[in-house]
Amino acid sequence: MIQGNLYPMMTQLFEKIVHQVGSVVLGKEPQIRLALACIFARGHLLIEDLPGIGKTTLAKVLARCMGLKFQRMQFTSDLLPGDILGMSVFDQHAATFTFHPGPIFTQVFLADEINRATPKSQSALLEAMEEEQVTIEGETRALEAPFFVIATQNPLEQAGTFPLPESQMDRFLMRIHLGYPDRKAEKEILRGTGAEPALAALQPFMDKTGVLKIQAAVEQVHVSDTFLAYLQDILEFTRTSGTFQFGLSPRAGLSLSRAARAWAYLHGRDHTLPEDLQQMLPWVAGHRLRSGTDLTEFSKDRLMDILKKVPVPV
Amino acid sequence: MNRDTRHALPIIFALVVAIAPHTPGLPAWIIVWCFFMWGYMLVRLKTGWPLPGAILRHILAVAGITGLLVTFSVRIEADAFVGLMAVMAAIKPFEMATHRHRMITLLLTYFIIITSLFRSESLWIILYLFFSVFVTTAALIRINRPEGRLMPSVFLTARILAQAIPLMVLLFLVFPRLQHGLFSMETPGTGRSGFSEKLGFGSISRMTLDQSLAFRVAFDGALPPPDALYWRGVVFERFDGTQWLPTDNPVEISSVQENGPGLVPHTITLEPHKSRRLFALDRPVAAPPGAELTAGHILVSRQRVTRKKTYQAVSRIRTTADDNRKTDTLSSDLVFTQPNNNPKARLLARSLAEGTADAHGKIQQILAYFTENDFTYTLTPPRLGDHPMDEFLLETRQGYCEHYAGALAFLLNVQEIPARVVGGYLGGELNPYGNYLSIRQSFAHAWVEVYTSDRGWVRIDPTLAVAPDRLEQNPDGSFSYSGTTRDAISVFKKMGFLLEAVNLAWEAWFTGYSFSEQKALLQRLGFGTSWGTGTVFFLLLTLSVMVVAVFFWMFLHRSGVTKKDPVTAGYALFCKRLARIGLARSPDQGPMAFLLTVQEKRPDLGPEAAAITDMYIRIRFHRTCPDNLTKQFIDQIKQFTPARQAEQ
Repeated sequence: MIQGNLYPMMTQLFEKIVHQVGSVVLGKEPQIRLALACIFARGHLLIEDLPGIGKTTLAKVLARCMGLKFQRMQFTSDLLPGDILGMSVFDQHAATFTFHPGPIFTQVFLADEINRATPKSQSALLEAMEEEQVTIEGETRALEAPFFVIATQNPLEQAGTFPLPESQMDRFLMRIHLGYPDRKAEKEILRGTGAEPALAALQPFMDKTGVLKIQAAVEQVHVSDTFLAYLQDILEFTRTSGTFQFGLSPRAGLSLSRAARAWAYLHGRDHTLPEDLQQMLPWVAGHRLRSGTDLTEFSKDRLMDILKKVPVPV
Repeated sequence: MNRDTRHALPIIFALVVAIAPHTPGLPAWIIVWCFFMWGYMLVRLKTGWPLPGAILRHILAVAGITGLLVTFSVRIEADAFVGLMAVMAAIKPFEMATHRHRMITLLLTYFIIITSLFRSESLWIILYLFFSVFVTTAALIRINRPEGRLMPSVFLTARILAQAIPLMVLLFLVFPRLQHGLFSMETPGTGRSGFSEKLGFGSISRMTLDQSLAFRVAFDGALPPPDALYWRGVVFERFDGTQWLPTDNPVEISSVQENGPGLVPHTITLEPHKSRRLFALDRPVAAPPGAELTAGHILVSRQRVTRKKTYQAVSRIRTTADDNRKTDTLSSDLVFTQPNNNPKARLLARSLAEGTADAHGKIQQILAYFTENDFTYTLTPPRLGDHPMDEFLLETRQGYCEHYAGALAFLLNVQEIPARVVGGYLGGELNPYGNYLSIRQSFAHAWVEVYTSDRGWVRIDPTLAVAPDRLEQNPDGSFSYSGTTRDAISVFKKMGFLLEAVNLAWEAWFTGYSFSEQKALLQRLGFGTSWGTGTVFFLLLTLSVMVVAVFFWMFLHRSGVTKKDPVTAGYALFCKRLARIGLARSPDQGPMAFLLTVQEKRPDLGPEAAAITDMYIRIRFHRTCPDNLTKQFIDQIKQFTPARQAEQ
């Protein structure tokens, strides 16, 4: 019905990946879709949730489906930047310093409980995320594209943690919650033997070139003037309505646009619609906005209620 | 809670709260009409019954207006106006599908609230109106912000209204006040007949159950003694055989501007009663502005008393023979030729007159006849037939004040002594907190005045001969203020007195803040002016023009109003046509989301709507689109005329 459906293949592939990942990470299809959109928009993902919800499994499955390398690292307060990035060690035989790359040299990097590490270590990771390169001992080393970080935060335990400042939260394209599985999904989890066998049985759908191609195609998705007007209206609203402590930054605006493009692309369109933006808003803007009155974050529904006051331009 | 419920509940609640103060005054069918329509709206939230379509809505509107025309004919009065608003507000919720209609309904609610002031300006009504405005404002906030919890909306309402209070006070104090009120309409529903134009047997005893207020009196100085609390209202000079009639052509006499002891100035606040009669303490000597004093010492207003009226009266409560001789006249048309009925009573009159020559003695004889012959004073006298005097004086011997007064005057007239019946009220209930007297309809009374050439007209109350404690005790059992009975007042009664006094003080201040007081205030603030009504109207006009100009300017500079482009206009038309059949696009819906709504609710419109949406998206959101697509899009929309009902 809708013309310009240039990528029907993409829709099918998308559904297949979602289905496949969903067969391992049970009952989490909406979050899987968001995570995929995040990857294809070249963004990084922050998952705020309790331990044991399936964050690691999700990251692993995503990596495997797309044929990407995977590393997981538990962040602790005594973690040093070198532990993440790697360091040069003196090789007595060769009489030279040899660089031993850290776990960051991968394609899907899971940083567990990122708020337990000191700000110094956090910023080492964040630089890698932003620049897709790391600088160690004066030497800049590029990370292998695609590079995708999934960081997790435990929202409950605050003792001995270093919560990410707002400016650094901004580096994550999306922030999502996994939440408990529903009763049906949990029954399947409890009946099964764990995710490992299913994970081993997974066949990758693509390799890293496939991911890079999709990322490049997402950048080609068209954003029209009407769409940009809507986006700018929303940015303007967050800055001037007085509901929020701070409005959205231009980087946040860019993130919204990228996420919406990825979402449009994954739904087989070469153009963005206001609906794409609305779908992405709570996940892209949620961790960037705080209430102007009590500085708490808004729930997803409340945030959408507020932002839906901005009329869609016709 | 679905969308309908979220919107319908607050609006209907606000409407019910706004209409509630009108329920005593509006015709019953309007109240039933309102609550039936709203009840249906509430029930259909649960059951999902259909909303009436356009045709039925029009029929209801016509039916409602017809009902109003039948009830009020074409009189333009406050009740008709309120009735029209109520009838319309009842059916308005049926077309609340769009935001605009919901806003209009709430604006209508504000109008209904303000019309409560037609009925009463009492403190309780004003306080209730604040509550009502609060509810309506909360509903207004609620329909604009239907999601989320209730309490923040309530707090926001409180904040908005608190911010409005300084403005309210300012406008109350300085907004140019019209001298005759903005709506110079009758106070609806409250006008009581009070005294009728004729005094028959039973016309006063009928009023003994009417506890409503006739008027209130405040005295400048000390209260007069209870035996002087005769409130003079009407003089009946002619007896037609069954009832007493007032003078046909009352003659105006000039007010006697006199000073000195014995004069009692007092302020009366008269409830509307739809006749021109004013009451004052017996006997008034000067007419207040806008009224005249007639030969019977009756105050008559130049206009009918259709609104609460406050006036100053000066009365002389102890008239001396000298005073009366100066002013009293025996009008020539006071004739003693009465219809030739009541023969037994005439015989009685003559027999009582035997042996005494002077008027005073004859009066004493008649009063003695009452006390010695087992006459009783009762609120429920038996009905009398064609010869009422005969029956009362010789058979039933049970009567209320009009029986005794009428009989005394009749007997004296037969004896050719000039006598007339005076109607009014006797007594009064003292409000100890406000230091004023309340006179209720049930205090209505009639007494007699007798003319003698040496003393003029003299008051004689034959009722006291039969029921001496009528002076102390009002017919409703309440006590006049004198004596030691005040301790017997119950706590509730005291509470009632207190509330009444508070309300009265409020009304005096609120309704008394008039044009002249406003001028005085402005003068004190240094804006001394000598504005007349014309200047005030001119100022109001200027102010209105300025406000309109500001709104027009804002309208012109609204974002996006500057020349719509054809695609925007086309899509807006598409949305408008769908809104007309109940499929309104909410402002946050993108084109695809709206299409899904349309397809879900009206599958038959799906293909057409999809084609239009597709073109719209191609023009608006695609990288490129064919040049002629815009024209095609507009053409397609022009042909798009969705039917209200899906085709079968």
